[in-house]
Amino acid sequence: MSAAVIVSKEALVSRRNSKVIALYLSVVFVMLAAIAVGVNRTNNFEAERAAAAQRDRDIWNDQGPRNAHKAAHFARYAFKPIPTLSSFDPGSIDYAGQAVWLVAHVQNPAEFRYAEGQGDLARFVTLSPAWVMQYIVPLVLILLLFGAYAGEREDGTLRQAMTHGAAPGVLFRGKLASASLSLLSLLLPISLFVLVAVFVFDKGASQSDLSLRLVGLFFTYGVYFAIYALLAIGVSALCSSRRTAAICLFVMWCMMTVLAPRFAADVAVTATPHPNGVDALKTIQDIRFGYMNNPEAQEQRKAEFLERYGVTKVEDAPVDFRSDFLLATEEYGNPLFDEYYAKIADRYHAQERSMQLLSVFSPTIPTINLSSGLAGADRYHHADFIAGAEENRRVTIRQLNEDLLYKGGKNAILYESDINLWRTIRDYPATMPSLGEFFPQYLKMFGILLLWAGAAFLFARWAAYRACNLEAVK
Amino acid sequence: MRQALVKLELLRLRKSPVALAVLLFTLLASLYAVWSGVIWREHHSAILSQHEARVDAAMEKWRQTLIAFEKDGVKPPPFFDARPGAIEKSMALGAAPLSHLAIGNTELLPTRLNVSPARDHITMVELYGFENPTVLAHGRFDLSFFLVFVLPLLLIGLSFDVIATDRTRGTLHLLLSYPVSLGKIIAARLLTRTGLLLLLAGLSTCIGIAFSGSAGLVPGALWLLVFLAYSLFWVSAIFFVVSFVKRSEVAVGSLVSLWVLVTLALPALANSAAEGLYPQPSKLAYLSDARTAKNEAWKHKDALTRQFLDDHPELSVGQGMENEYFRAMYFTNKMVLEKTAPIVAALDDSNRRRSELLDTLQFVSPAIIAQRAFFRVAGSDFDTTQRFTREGIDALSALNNELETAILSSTRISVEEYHKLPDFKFEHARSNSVLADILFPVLFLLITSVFLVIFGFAGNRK
Amino acid sequence: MIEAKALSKSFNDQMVLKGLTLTVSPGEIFCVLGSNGAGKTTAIHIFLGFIEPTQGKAFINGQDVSADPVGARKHVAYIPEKVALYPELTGYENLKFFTELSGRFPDHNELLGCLSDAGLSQDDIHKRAAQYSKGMQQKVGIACAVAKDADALLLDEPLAGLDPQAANEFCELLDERRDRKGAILMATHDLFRAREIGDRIGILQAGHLVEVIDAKSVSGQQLEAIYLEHMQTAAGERT
Repeated sequence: MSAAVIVSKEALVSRRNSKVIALYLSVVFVMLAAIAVGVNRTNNFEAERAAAAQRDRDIWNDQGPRNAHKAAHFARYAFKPIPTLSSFDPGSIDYAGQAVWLVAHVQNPAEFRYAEGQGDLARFVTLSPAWVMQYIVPLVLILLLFGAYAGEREDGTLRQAMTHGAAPGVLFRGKLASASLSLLSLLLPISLFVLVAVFVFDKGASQSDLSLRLVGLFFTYGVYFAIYALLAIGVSALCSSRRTAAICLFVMWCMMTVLAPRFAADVAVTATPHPNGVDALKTIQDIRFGYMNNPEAQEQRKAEFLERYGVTKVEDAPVDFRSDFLLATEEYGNPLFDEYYAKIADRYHAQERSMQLLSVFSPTIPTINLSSGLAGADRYHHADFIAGAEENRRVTIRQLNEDLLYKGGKNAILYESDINLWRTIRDYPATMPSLGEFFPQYLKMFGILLLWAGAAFLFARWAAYRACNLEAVK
Repeated sequence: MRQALVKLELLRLRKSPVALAVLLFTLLASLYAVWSGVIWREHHSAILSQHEARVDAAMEKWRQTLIAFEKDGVKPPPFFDARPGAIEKSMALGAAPLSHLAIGNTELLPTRLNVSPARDHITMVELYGFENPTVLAHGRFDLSFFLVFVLPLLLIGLSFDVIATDRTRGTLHLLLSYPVSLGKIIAARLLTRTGLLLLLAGLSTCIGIAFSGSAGLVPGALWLLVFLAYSLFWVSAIFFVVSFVKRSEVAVGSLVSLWVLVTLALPALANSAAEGLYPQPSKLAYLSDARTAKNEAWKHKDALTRQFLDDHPELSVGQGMENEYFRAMYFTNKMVLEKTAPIVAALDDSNRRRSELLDTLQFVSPAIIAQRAFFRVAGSDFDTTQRFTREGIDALSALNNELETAILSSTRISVEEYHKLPDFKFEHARSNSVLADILFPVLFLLITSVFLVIFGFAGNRK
Repeated sequence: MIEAKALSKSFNDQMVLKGLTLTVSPGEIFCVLGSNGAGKTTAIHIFLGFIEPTQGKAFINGQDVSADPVGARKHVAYIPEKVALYPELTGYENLKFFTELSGRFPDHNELLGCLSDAGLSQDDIHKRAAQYSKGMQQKVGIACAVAKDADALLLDEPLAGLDPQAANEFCELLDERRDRKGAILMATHDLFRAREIGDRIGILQAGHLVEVIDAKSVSGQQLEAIYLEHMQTAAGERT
C-alpha cells in the first residue's frame, strides 16, 4: 500500500516537472524521426534488391546462345534479402556485402557494402530506432532517476519519509515501481510505433517469426532499460547529493554505452586481425586450380570416368571428358572452400568472443548483438545468406556443367546452350532464416543480460537500504 | 594572483582522486588508441607489400619468358605465355604517414588494384571485404576517435565543476572579495585543469606522430593544429556553460547534452540530410548495367572485331581460337568501360556533390569538422579513396592505350617496350593542399571558440 | 507518552549519552537544553528508532522502539530544524503523501483542517512548497504531525531560523497540541522559549541529564544563570 503511495507521489512530481515532460517529448520526437529514416532506408534497400534480382534474371535469360561453361563464368548474382526489422535495427547490414557473385570455380565473399558509399559521415551515427533505444533511452533514464535517492537525501525528504514509518523496503519498492512506470511509459509508445511501422511497411515476412522477434526485442529492451534504471537508482542511493549522482551516472553512461562497445570491437580486431585479403585471394586461387594441379586426383577421376562409360580411352566415351573435368574441379574445390571459409568464420567467432568477454563491463554490448540478431541484421543472418548463396552457386554451376556433359557431345567446347537452359536455372530464393536457427546463441546473450539485471537489482537494493540506514544516523 | 590561482588548482588536482583518475585514463586510453593504430598499420602495410610482391613475381616470370623467347627467337613459348594481354601492374593505396592515427575509410574501401587489360574497372579491384561486419560496424578506437569523441567527455569530466562547488560551498564570495574578476578565476582554473589533460593527450599524439619518423613532421604539425583547434572549442564551450549555469549537476547535464548534440545527434542528422538530398546511386543497379554491357559486348564481339579489322587491315591475323581469346576479352572489357561510363560518372558526381555538401554541412558540428580534418591529414578520408579508384581507372586506360595494338594484332611486345610501360603509384595529397582543405574549417573552430569565450565573460559579469 | 530508561549510546568508544532516564507524559512539553554535541539529537534519534541505544530502552506509548522501530514511528511525529518538503508538490499534497505513508488515509476535509489548524492560510495550501518560507514549511510539518494523529511529538531545534512572529505562532500551535494530550519532547537552544512554553526543562550536558527544572518555578534570568553555571562546570572539567 505504502509503495503505491510513493508511486503516485513520484508520478505527480514528474508531471509537475516541465524538464521531464520536455525530455519525454524529445525522445518520442527523435524516435519518430529515427523510425521514418529506418523505414525509408529499408524500403529503398528492398526496392534496390528486388530491382537488381529481377534485372539479374533478365540479363541471365538475355545472354543469348553461348557455351554453358562460359555462362558459368558470367554467372548470376545472389542478392541479400533485407529483413523487415532492419528498419528498427540495421545492425551490421551496412557493413556486410549485399551481393554474391555465383561464379564457376570460386566462392567469393559478399560485395557491395552500403557503408562504402556513405563517405566520411559513415563513422558517425546512423540514426535508427535501435540506436535511440541503446544510447539515448539509458541517458534519459539516468536524467529521470539520478535524483531518486540522492535528491531526497539532499533535501532531507528521505529522512522525513522514514520518520513517517516508511521502511527501507517500502521506499525501495516504491522507487522501483515508479521507475518501472516511467520505463513503461517510454517503452510502450515506442513499441507501438515500431509495431505500426513494421506491420504497415512489412513486405510479407513470416508473421509468426516476426512476432517472435518482436517479443524478443521487447524483452531485450525491457531488461536493458531495467538494468540502467536499477543502476541509476543504486548509484543515486550511494550518493548523498544530486551532483555526485549525476556525475557518476554520466561517467557510467559514457563508459558503458559510448566507449565500451567501440573499445570491445577494437580490442577484438587488434587481438584477432581481419582476414588477410591477399592470403585469402591466394588460397582461393589455390583451391580454384587445386584439381588442375593434382595429377593423382585427376588419374583417379579418369579411372572412374572410363569405368562409368565402359571404355579404355576417354576419346571413346560418348561424352566430352573435359566436361567431366569441369564438374570434377567444382567437386574438388567445394569442400576446400567450406574448410577455408570455416576458418575465416572461426576468426569471426574469436573476434566476437573477445567482444562478448567485455560484456562484463557493459550491458550495451550484449544488447547491441542481441538486438541486431533479433532484427535479422547481424552476422549470423548474413552467414545464412552466404551459405544459401553458396548452395545456390553449387547447384547452378553443377546444372550448367552437367548440361555440357550430357548434351554437349564429344566436343562440348563448341556446344552452345540457349534460353531453354537459362530458364531452368533457379533464382536465389532470398528467404529469411527463422529465429529458431540461432536460438542458442541469442539465449546465451540474453542470459548475460539477465545476469546483469540480477546484479543491478542486488546492487540497487543494497545501496537503497544502505542509504536509508545512513540517513537514519546522520 | 593568477599564479596563485594556478598553484592552488594544481594542488587541488593532486589531491583529487577523481581528477587523477581522469588524467590517468586520458593517458592510457590515448596510448591504447595509438598502439592499436600502429598494429593495424603494420598489418595493413604487410598486406599491401604482399600484394605488390605477388604481382611483381608473376610479372617477373612473364618477363623472363619473354627474355628467353627474344634470345632463342626460334622456339616460341606456348601461346598464352608472355602475351601483352596478361600484363598486370599493381597499384596500392599505401599508408600515408599518419594513417595509423585515423584508420577511417581505408579499413572499408579497396586499397589494392590490379591494373591489366585483362580486367575491367570492377574486376581490377582485388578481392576484398573479408572483414567481420559486426566488428566493422562498431568502428575503431583509434586516436581520431579518441580525440573527437572521448577527449571532450574527459575535458567535461575534469572541469564542469570548476566554479560550481565554490558557489555551493560559499567560498566564491571569499574569492571574489579579492581584486580579481570571476571570469578570470574561471579561466585560470579551467586552463590549468584542461591544460594538464591536453598535455597528456598531446603527448600520446606526439608519440603517435613519432612512429612515422621525419615523414610525419609536416602532417604531424597539421594534426596538432586540428587537435588544438578542436580542444579549444570544447574548453571554450565548457567556459561558456559554467559561466552561465550555476549548479554543477545542471552544468554537467548541459555539457553532456552538448556533447550528445555535437558528436552524435548533429552528425546523424547531417548524415540523414546528405542521404536524403543526394541519395547514393544504387550500386546494385550499377552492377546490373555493367553486366548488361558485358552481355552486349559478348554478343557483338564478332561484329566489333570485324569492324576493327575493316579499319585496320594491317592487324588482321589468323582467326584461331587463341587469337580470339585476348581480343574478345579486350573488347568486352572496353565495352564494359564505355557502357558503364555514364553510371560511373553518376556515382562520381554523387560522391562529389555529397562531399561538397559536407563542405558546408560540416559547420553544423565541430565534431564533423575535426573528424574530417583528421581523416584528411591521415589520408584516410573518403575523397582520397575515391581519387585512388579514379586514378586506377585512368591507369587502366593508359595501359590499355599502350597495349591495344599489340593485343588486337595478337603480337608480343618487346622486352624493351615492356620496360617502357608506366608504373602506377598512388601519391597522397601534398601537405599544402591538405592545409588548404582544412584551413577554413579549423579557422571556423577557432573563431567559434573566441566567441564562446567572449560571451562567457559577458555572462560572468552579470 | 515518551519514555527513556537508562539510555546510553556510544560511538567508537565515545559516550554521547549516559544513562538518560526521563518520562514525558501526555499533555506535557519537555524542553531539553544543551550545547552542541550534548546528545540532544542522539536522544531524539533513539526515540525515532534511527539508531539503537548501546544500553537502556526507549518507549513510545509504552512500545519498545528498538523492538519495532517502524511500528513505533507510526505513533510519533518528528519535526526537524528544517522540515523537508517536495518542492514540486503543494503543501496539501506533501501532507497527503506523508500521512498516507504512515498508513493513515484521512479524507480531503480532514487534511485541509489540519493545514488550517496549523495556521497555513487557504491561499498557501495549494501553492507549491518551493515557494514556502521556513515558517510555512514548519507549519506543514506540524500539520503532518497532527494528521498522523501522533501521541508523541519529537522536535529538534524547530525554532532555529524562524523570525520572532513565526516562532510565536509555532509555540501557540505546540500549546494546542499539549491541550490535546500530546507528549512533546523539544530540543532547543532557546532558553527564553523553553521557559515560556515548556512544562519541565532538562539540561543535558555531555550526555548527562544534569538537572530537571519546573519551568514555572524559575524566572528567565534564573534559568539562564543555572544553565551557564552548568556550562562553566563543564568547561572547567574539560580543562
